Amino acid sequence: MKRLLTAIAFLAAASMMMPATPAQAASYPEETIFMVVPYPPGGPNDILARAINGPLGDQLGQPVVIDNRGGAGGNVGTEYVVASESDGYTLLLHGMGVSVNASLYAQARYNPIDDLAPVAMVAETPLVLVVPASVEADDVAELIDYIREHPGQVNFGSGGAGTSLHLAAVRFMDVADLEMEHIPYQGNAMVIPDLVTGQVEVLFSSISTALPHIESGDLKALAVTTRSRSDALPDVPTVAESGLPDYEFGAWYAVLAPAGTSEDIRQQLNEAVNSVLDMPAVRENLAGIGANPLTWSVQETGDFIAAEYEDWRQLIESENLTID
Amino acid sequence: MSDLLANLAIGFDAALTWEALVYCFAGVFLGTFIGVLPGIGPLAAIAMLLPVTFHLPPVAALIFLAGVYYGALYGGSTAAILLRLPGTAASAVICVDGHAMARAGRANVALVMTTIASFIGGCVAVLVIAGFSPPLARFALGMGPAEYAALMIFGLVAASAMSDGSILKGFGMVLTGLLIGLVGMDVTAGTLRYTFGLSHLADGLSIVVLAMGLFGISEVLNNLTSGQAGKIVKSRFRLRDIIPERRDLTMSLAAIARGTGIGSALGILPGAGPAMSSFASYSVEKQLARDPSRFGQGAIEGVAGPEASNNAAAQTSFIPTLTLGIPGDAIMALILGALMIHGIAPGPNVMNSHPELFWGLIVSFWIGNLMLLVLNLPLIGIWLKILSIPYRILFPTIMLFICIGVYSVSRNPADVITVGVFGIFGTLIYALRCDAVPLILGFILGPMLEEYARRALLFSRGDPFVFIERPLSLTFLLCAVGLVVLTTVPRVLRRMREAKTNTS
Repeated sequence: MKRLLTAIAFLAAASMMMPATPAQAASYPEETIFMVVPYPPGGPNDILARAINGPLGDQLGQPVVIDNRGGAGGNVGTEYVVASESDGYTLLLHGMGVSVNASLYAQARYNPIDDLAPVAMVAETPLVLVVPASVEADDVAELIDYIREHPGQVNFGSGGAGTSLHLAAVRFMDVADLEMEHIPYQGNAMVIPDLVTGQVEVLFSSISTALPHIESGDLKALAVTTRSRSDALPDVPTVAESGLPDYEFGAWYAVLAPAGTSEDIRQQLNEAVNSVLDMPAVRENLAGIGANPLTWSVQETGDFIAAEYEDWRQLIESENLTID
Repeated sequence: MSDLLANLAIGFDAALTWEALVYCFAGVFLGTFIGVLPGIGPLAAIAMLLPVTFHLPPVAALIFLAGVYYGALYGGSTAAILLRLPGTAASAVICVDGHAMARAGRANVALVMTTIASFIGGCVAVLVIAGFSPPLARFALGMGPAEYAALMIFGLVAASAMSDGSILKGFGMVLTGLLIGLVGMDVTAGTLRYTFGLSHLADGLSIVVLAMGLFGISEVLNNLTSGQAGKIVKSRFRLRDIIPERRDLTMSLAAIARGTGIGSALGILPGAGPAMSSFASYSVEKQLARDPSRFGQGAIEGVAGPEASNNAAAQTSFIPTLTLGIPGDAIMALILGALMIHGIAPGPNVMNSHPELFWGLIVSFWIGNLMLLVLNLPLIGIWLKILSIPYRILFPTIMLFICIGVYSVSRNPADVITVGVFGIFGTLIYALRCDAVPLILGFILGPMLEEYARRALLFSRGDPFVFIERPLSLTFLLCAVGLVVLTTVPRVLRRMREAKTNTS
């Protein structure tokens, strides 16, 4: 008797649970969504997240709260998301580091393809190749000549080992077959004083940081790194136009979820992110920080991240850039 | 001169609108409370408030965020004085003599004086920004890595010299701070040091964790173990206390003047300057004092000078942020981000392209500092009531606030454990009669010194003479040597004289 009752109770419970799964997906989200930014407040990742989290919350009907979990070049926050429930309530807004760090850091304990699921692309920020006014080069070809004429003497700045600024230069040296000495700083802006005074001779910088100094004449903009020119610097050619057709680089940002997050939820989030990125007010804010919104599907986002992962894995291995 | 007046007129036009005034008041008001309650740091608060400013006009947004920033800096001193809870490096300096004053029943004097010091420091720094921003920004650009490294060596020598009693102990504390500062990833080579494979240590330890542990937790532990739990002489606050006694005022005014000068000068150096300002002022006051042994026991110059210096540096640090686009710290980076969202990229042309923004902000500093003064003098009476809470209720509350505050910095539970470890360490060095302030300075300056020194050597291709070839760098190094001679020679001479009298 007791066993029968248990069995009935079990069946009843099971039948109640069965239809619950699709219904749950339909009613997602039912509570606050946490968007993890794997850096402290104030960085480009964080500012971008804060430009979209409000409207995204309105779109989804639940607040989207920014959760800054900085550390280890973004790995602390990423590993936190990897270890979170794959229920769609913990998301990750990461930059290209998500594709790079697993190869770059010997200590990274995740793989972006197996441990994370793509949700949506957010934006791409073109970088601009700048040199101080004192460097005798007015375009990319002249700069390459200049570097070749001064072997081992030309240096480049970056926002730190493994940052997008560093990687843009690494890819440039790889494509153009050049050597420059790396001088790392703590963030893009900190390079500017030594660049303006000519101690640092080459920098791949975010456009918004370099623009005021380009306008004041202290820096010369030689090329932008993306496929197409930037609206902020319409007269500046791309690197690809300037004789290195294989070169393309953009610091990109995407939303990801822990692996195992259902496709329905990711699809729903993807549509919400894309509609937010279409809002004129959001576009205006993104333009202010020099970011071009990208409205891609879940599939396109995933394919792109996987391709980037493979590219960087090879380049990091061949250039021996691993940080341990 | 007429230019300056015309510019200030533009600023008054922008900052005296009702909207700007309301946001300025809201900023300093919120900032004060954020600063006093050690639960939420100014960084977390400004990050949370950032999206609010997307919908404001840029001038109002900037005035509001800046108000939160310097309001919180000011409020931080209140918590440091009353409860020995420093939320920033600057308030770690304030809490040494400020809390000693509070224990002696002079909390009211300390609070009134910090309010006045902060006001004077802020107002003078505003004049510096208004009059000399472009040349100062050019000067800051001329400071290369060699100059920064030499300046930091000078700062560290001054820190060893400023600890009381044994120079050796001071030097040991600075060295301990340097070593703790090395934890994490090194900027130049990207290698991880002293992290024991823990990814939580990869970015190093936070100054909030260190200061809260060494001062806040160790204070609670000392109180509980010494058996005189929180024996603080109560101080009453009456309205006439707003006007300080003549003796306190004369002792403070010179310190405030020197502190303001030091802070205004150091504030223009991104990153290093504001962090060093209050330490520099404290050590200058101690060197100049007729009786340096009063320091640590509640010397009012040790509160007024650093507070003025800190607030002056907070204002002048807007010079590199606005005119070069270089944020000195994470808070400045957020404020810069807010401006960029509005499509304003601060840089060399910002004064010409957005005069109403630049001058409006500067005038708002004045108004904001005045508001802080008017707002906080009456509040002192309320803050003092905290001291009449029985200690058995107060100390668990303090511990709770420390835990929340430390956790909120980077939402990292490991930080809560770390703050406890530093609390025990702080009790230990207190028992050994060592001074924690040089340790904090070593912790802040150590990693910067390494970064700049290595960068200078990268630029010079390994030639160490770069530090003495550049005149400014040489000057700082000579000052450091001079300071060592000044502090050690008299002691050595005294020893020799003693030895002579003993033998004869």
